[in-house]
Amino acid sequence: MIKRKIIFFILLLYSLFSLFPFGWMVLSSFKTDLQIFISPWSLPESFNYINYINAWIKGNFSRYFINSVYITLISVMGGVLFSSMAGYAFSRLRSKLSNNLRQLFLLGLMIPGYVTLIPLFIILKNLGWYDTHLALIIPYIAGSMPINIMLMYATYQNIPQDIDEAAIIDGASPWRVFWMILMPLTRPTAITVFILMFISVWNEFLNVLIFINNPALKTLQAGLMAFRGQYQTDYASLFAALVITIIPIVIIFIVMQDKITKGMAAGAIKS
Amino acid sequence: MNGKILNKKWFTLFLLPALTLYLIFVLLPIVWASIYSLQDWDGIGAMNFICLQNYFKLFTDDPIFWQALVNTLVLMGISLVLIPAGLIMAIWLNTKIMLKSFFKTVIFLPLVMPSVVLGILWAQIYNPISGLLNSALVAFGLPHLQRAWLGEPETALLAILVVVLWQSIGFYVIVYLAGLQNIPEEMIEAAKIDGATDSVITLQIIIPLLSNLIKFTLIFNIITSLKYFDLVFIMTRGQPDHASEVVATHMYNQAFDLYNYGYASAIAFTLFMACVFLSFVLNRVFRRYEY
Repeated sequence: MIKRKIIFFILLLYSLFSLFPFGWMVLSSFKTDLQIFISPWSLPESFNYINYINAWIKGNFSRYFINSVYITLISVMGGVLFSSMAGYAFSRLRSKLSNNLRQLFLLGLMIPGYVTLIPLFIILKNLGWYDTHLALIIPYIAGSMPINIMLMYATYQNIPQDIDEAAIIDGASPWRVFWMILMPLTRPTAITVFILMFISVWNEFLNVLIFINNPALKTLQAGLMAFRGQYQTDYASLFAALVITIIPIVIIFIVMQDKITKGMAAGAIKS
Repeated sequence: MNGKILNKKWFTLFLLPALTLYLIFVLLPIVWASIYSLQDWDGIGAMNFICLQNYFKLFTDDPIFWQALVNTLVLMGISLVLIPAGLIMAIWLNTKIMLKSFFKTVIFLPLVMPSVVLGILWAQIYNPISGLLNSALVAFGLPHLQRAWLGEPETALLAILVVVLWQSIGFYVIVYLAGLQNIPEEMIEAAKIDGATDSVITLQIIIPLLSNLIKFTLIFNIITSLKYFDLVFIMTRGQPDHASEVVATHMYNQAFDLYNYGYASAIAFTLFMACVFLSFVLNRVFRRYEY
């Protein structure tokens, strides 16, 4: 019993320590620069939201936010659709190359992102996509294929074949079977893949930093880095910008925590 | 026969988008990286084939690379602590305990947060003038311990490492918790009735049953540390004086600050080969000890 209390106490202490930076960030976002500077530990004198207005309008974060939302959504929808299709192909439409190609995708799990950075930069320039959102969306979709396909394929393998075989015998095309029968059946995994990819695309910053030059096209993460460089001492607005950047992730995490952790564990255990 | 041909057509159609994108934007760049690594090239002018000279330079004539490699190994060594720490936390969180879901949420939260946000936030905490850490030291009567945590060579790397550990521990807890949930409760109960203490249960039941997961996390940990980039880049860019430089940030600087594309590609490709080689070797080694 005493032991349980000690464990509880340690976990409580760790949790408070772990939450503290976030609490400090939120409180600081309501302070003035001077307050942050003079007394970093104090509570804000009043909850003035001027920092949020500054970040949103002057700091251009309204633009970054919209860019992040739509780039992330398009990438994630593409990533889920294409990996579902591939998972279906590998699971149902066997071909001689099936296994080799699946291994080829698994190889991608080992490739660190920045190994491809320089060649990708050159390829995107040659395609004329440099400094456009295509330079972000298409590589995000491509890079997500290994892990997404792994998760989708495993799910397709768990669905009994007779369900869709019956439909094929009745004359339905594979596309119809995929779209009308299997997509709905695999929806729970598709949602998990959707959320995990959403988080990783939302958080990505290196590609944006290198492939995007026009400030109006930047995402939140690259916007934050630019803002920090430009308004080095406007700490108050910087804190507000940090809060703006994590709000969607915090909401998704709190609502979907179970799915996120299960998805991560599944991805880890299968690979 | 007809069915087979039809199948082939559909197989191609369904795989086409994923495969095309993957080939052009993931695999092709790897091939290009290996080709660039043999050139003297600034990214704009003509390429100049210099065979393996970039690799010779890397291993024999680049003190920053060696410094970065040492730092990377320090990061790797210290982050090994995540394995026992994550396992202990997972075991604790697998018991009936108050506020369990709150603890889980808090421990997992940094894992899903953008590294940019965490890096900037902690840079503020470490800020020498208005930072939380220094003013806490003053408040506790230890003003002589104040430092520019990220600005001094002695502390920069360690200060970043604290944040790296804090961000990544959630992943280990998630993986181990998933494994623990597969261990039947009766097994633990039976051992308890037979008088086994908690440490015996942990050492003789839980760890052997999780051995495959522990091996996986060990390989994952080593590879992840080897290619580590994010928080170092965001918080210090490897400074001061390369004291916090890791191999990946060195590669970035060579490519995008100094425009040595050929040389940077050699670093990138070396790192890639090291990852592939290490995960292959470690997998083989561990398979031999499987039971």
